[in-house]
Amino acid sequence: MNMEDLDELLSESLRPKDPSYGFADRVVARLQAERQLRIVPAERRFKVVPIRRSHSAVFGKREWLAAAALLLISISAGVFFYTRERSYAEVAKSEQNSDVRPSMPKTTEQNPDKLQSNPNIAEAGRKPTVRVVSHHRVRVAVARTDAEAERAKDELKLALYIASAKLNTAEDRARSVITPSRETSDDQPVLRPEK
Amino acid sequence: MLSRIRIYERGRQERVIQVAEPLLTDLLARSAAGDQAAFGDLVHEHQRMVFGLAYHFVHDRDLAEELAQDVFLSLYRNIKSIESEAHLVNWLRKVTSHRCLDQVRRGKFRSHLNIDDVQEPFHVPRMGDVILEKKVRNLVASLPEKARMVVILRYQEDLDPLEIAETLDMPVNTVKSHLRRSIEALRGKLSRSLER
Repeated sequence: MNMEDLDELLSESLRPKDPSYGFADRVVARLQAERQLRIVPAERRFKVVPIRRSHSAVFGKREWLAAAALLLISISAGVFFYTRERSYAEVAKSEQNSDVRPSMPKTTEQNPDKLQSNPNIAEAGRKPTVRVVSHHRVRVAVARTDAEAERAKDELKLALYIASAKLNTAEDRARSVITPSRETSDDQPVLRPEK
Repeated sequence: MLSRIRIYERGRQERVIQVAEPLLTDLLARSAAGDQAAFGDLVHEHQRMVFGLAYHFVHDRDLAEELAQDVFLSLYRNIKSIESEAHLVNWLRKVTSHRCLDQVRRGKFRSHLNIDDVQEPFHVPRMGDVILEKKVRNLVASLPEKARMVVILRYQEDLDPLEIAETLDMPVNTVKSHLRRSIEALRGKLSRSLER
């Protein structure tokens, strides 16, 4: 058998063959069955499928409004607390420099009659006297205890006592200058405490 | 653009007809879009080639149909990657060949035929003889797996050694040596039958 005959014989024998009737329909039916049963192909079984959502779906108009409102509230709160802290700090500074009291913070005693008329305040002795310090449109209520008030009162009394002593001394010296024959029994000033 | 399609009819010379390429491209595009009817037409168009390759290799009609179905289902899953009709034909050839070889390697199918066990044809061969053709197919089925697939691709698909090498991912020289040895073995068997 020569080569050409063999080639021809092989070509004839190995022709493409038809499958059984309805093969294509069976393939399509199997395809539909697989899709209905949702059989995941082996190569895609462990594949991570990303879930794609639009940005508007994640963060919509309502969420934007809520975020803006929250931001506004937080800014307002921040401004409020910042101005409050600053006014406290200024009041404290002005109290430190009490000798040279600045004219800007205007201090007014609040409800003095009410405090005096209330008998419980005197008995308690620890009730705070309230005063209001106003400065640059900021009004701050400052609490001061009775102990501080007492101390201030004592300091005032001492100052008055010294002042009256100095006044007496000056008066005596003036008298001795006017009437030199007259001798005074004592050179030291007579301290007369004020009532 | 025209596409050439071979038509084989029993007892007749092979005919080659030309089909308008847009028709096949349209089928491919519709199948990729999920049209199952178009995919059915596409299967119908190529079932002879795929089933023929599988049948000549495994020599079992049911197993060959099962393999061919698997190939087409795999095609449906990968149809979006197919770019043209020529690409589709090459893809089908390649996948069918590898599926057949994998089937043998996994041990699901083993050829029970051995070339020495196959009875030699006892009569003078005539072209178109059904019995002779069956005997030749038996002889081909008794070849080793790779050599068998090389012979089937060479004579069924009329591929040259370079195309066979690309399809089976093997060196061209290996393809040529498989072809040479297989043809020598087949010719020896057939020649002995002629000498009787």
